[in-house]
Amino acid sequence: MDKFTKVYTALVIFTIFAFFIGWFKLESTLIIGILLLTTFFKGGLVIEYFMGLNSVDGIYRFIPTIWLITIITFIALGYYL
Amino acid sequence: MNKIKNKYPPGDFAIWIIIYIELLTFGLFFLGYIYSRRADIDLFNSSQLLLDTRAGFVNTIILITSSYFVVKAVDAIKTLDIEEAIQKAQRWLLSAIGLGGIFLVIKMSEFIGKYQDGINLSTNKFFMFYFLLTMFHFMHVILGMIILYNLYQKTKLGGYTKDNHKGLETGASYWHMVDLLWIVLFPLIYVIR
Repeated sequence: MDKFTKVYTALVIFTIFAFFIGWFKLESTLIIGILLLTTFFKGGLVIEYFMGLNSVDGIYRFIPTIWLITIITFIALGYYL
Repeated sequence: MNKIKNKYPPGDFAIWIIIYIELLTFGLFFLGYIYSRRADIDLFNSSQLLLDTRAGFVNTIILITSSYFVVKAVDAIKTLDIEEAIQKAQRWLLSAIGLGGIFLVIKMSEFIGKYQDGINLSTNKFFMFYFLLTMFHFMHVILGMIILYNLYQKTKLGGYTKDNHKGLETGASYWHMVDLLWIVLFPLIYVIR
């Protein structure tokens, strides 16, 4: 299995996890925390491997990741506060 | 062994300016959604129950798969011999375009279903954000498909090689951004309650 297929498999597994949370209408704080974490991992995998930013050095690599961290943090704050 | 890192992202740098602007724009929409949800959590939660989580899930899988196909197309061009690369890359790209089309059909059926139920932009604040965000994203999928089709045409004509594939990487980066946005949009709109 090449690295892109491994990344794809991880993305599908995380998405299935997110679907079950939505389907069973799970609302616990811990579950939503894990969901946000997996969303961050999913976004990170797309940024690093699909967009190919893991081969880039410096600020241009980190702008999308900073964006992702900011959005996920605000979603978490909006949910928990 | 340490790999030599590039100074600039793959593809034409102009597309990355566009990608950063798009991320910022969608980011502001997301923040608007989060802020508005805080003001009326019950309304947002009850309205969210009217969405079809299965459709959102299937569309997420479709976009992720489509993105994966585009990665495989770029990888084929970069690593395989020209004849095999062209053959495989155009197949991956065509499959990615097909999946983009299925995404649009599913999303369109969701929109039509909502309109038939009398739900639209002015129903309430949740649906205003739902339509605004998903329709805006919908338009990006259409543009992405047009870009992928152009990449497919050029690939078919042998326009990309191991040494010359910047254009392919440029279009691919845009498509991955469309995927990235949906990866955040799906849990935000369909799942988190």
